[in-house]
Amino acid sequence: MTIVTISRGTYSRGKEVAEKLAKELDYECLSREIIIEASKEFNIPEIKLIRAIHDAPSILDRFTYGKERYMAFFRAALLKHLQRDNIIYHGLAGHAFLQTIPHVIKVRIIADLEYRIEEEMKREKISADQARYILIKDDAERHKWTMALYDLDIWDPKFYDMILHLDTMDVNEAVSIILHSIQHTCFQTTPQSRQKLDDLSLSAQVEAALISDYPKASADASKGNVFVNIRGSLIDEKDISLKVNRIVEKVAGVNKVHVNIIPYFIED
Amino acid sequence: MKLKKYTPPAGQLIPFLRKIFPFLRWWNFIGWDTTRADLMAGLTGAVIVLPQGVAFAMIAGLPPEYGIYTAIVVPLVAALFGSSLHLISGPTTAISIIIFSSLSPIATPGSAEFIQLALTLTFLAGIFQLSFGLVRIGILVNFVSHSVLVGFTAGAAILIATSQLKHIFGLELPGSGSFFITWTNILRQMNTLNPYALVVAAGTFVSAGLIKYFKPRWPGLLIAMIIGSIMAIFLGAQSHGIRLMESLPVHLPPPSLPDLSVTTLRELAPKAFAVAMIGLIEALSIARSIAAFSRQQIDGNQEFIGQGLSNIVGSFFSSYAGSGSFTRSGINYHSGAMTPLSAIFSAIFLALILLLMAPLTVYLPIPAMGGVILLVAVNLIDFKNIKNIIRTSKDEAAVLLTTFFATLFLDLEFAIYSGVLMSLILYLSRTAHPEIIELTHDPESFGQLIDQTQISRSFFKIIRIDGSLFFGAVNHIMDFFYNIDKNEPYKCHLLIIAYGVNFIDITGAEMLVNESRRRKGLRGGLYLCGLKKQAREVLDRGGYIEAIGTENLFSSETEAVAKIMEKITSPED
Repeated sequence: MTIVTISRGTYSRGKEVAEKLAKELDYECLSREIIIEASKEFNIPEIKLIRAIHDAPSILDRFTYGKERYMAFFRAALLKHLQRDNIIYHGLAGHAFLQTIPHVIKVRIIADLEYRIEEEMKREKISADQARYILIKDDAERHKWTMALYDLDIWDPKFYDMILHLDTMDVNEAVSIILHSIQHTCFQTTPQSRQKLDDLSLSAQVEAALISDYPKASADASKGNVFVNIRGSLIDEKDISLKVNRIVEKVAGVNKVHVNIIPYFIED
Repeated sequence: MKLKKYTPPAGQLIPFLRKIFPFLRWWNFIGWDTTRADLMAGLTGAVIVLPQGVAFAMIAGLPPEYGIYTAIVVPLVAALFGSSLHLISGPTTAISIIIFSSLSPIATPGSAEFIQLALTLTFLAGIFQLSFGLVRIGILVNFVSHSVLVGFTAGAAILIATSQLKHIFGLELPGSGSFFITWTNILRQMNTLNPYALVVAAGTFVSAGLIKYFKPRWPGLLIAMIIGSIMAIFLGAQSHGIRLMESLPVHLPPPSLPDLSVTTLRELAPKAFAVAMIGLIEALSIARSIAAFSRQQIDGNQEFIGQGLSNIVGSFFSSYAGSGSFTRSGINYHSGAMTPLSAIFSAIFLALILLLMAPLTVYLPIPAMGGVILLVAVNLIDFKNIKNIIRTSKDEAAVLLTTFFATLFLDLEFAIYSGVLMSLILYLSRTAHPEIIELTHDPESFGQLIDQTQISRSFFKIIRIDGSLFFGAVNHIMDFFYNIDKNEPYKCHLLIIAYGVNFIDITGAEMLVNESRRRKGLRGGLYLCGLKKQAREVLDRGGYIEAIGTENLFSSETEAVAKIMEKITSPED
């Protein structure tokens, strides 16, 4: 009983690994399905969600919080789905959202750039230069995206439990390594790790509920008790608390809400 | 293989830039939500400062537009380089009065020469303030305690409210900065009260209050002023003597050059020093008052730098010396401002108002402004905190009340001085009277402080001192020692439990040595137990331990009691 997230670059065969692994384990294999779920649940156009997940935030996004809004919806949908357990997820941001959950194996699949260029040329029927340009741009965009939204470097090995280089092994061998690792007790679901995921999911649902009114709201849940941090003037503390309580109480699974106002933030 | 020298990773640039450009510290907090709040607060602030700028410039003996220029340039620079997130700088009553009283003996108010001197005075005051900040003497602000600030805020709020009463009642009063005289004049002239002005002021006050209560997110003060303006038009303002704002010249702050000749600088330096000090005290006190609401930590040195730079830059753009404004900072904070962008927006809006809407300012009734400022003043009084301080500590209550009444009846800067002085006196009095507790043993536990025998009770005294043994406390402690001799003359052995003594200075050390000698002469002794490392080091370095006797120093009470009892029960001679 576990969850595997696979972070991958375009044409690095991570998708193949994920699908084969899901088949071997008889687990659900997820990627873009989450976008559709989020789009339906929060009533937002799929294309906007795809763009928000793929493109790095612009200067304007910083002020409008457009990207954060869509990401909150996406995160809420993903974490809600992952609560079902026995899932292989190979899409963006999986490792970013699930860093603190022990029973989630975070895998990074990498492949040589030249190999990826060849693959892209074959599939897209484009020149080598075009393929190289697209892949480098795509990698840079994803790097910028996680840095901008979560301050995470997708190329930093400390965020993964294992990094598999598909130049030195084939898909079957990669799957076999992951299958072997899954057997270890450290990756098994425990009541505590399950609770952590439930808490994380509840925080995400609360943040998604608040995001339209408080785009920078952050929530931290613990067994139904939700602590919400809201940026705002202390002058409006009472009104903000009332409004937040009203919104958060409607989220399923919430027992109690604590609101904390963040009036300023100063960096040294 | 030779190891390469370790060099820390690059990435020190941003912290370095944040030190030089303090606005980078809060820059990442900005978003649409904060910008929206700051825009609203800025807009409200711009409308508020418009008549104030005019009035303060006139108090300073300068043409009215100089007040507006000061309200545009000074807050902008101070917001970017200061520490407070909510402080609004610009023209203030206190600084305006000082400028007038400093320069009017040497130039005719309003003349070109007077303006030039005012700009030079501003430049010099800015240099002083910047220097104070750079040499980091902002620590001075730590001596302005919470009770001083609460008292000062409450006093200043009443002063602000008082200053607006003539506008609210539509009275023609002679100019006076005195709280007492202003009230006397108001009461004397109540028979000339203008009911129309009062209606407009009351309507604005009530509107602002209701909006604040029912729709706190709305720009209540601004809406209330518009309501006040409509009321004035509806009541027929001019025909009923309701005073309106005057029309202003339409241009942005023109560049200017202070007179930097040695003669002028030498002449103005002492006056500039006074302006600099008062400006800093005012700005820091207000910044800390607002911070008491906003829970922000104020960096005194950074605020000094911000104030200094704002005055230096201002002097090159036709602005006279500014400081933190209580009214506008209060309005800014209560309008929901979240970052110093509100001050910048306020400056921009003011510039726009000056350029585009200067002719329209003639529709803004002065009583409406008074009504709005009155509400702000009421909100500045922290009743809950005042009640709490008065209930908690008599000393703190005394500090609060001293500052409060000094604010009302003395000059603003002296009010702060008196509060700080009172706080320091009370603090010194507390430290000069360290608590001395008389101890006895616990008969139920073995080896505790003293053996319960007739002999020990007769000859042995144990005390614990909680506080420092320094020159100020020596008299109090010696009095206690002499009282032991007076009331219990047979107790010639004295054990001091010194866990609570954090510091001993030379006077304190000398006192211990003298007491030790004196007690030895009485066939007793002085013993010290549980001395802290720092205190012991002082005694050691000065040779005082040798004089007291190393055998009379103990690390635990059990050891001390055992040894002293042995000495009492089997004396050497």
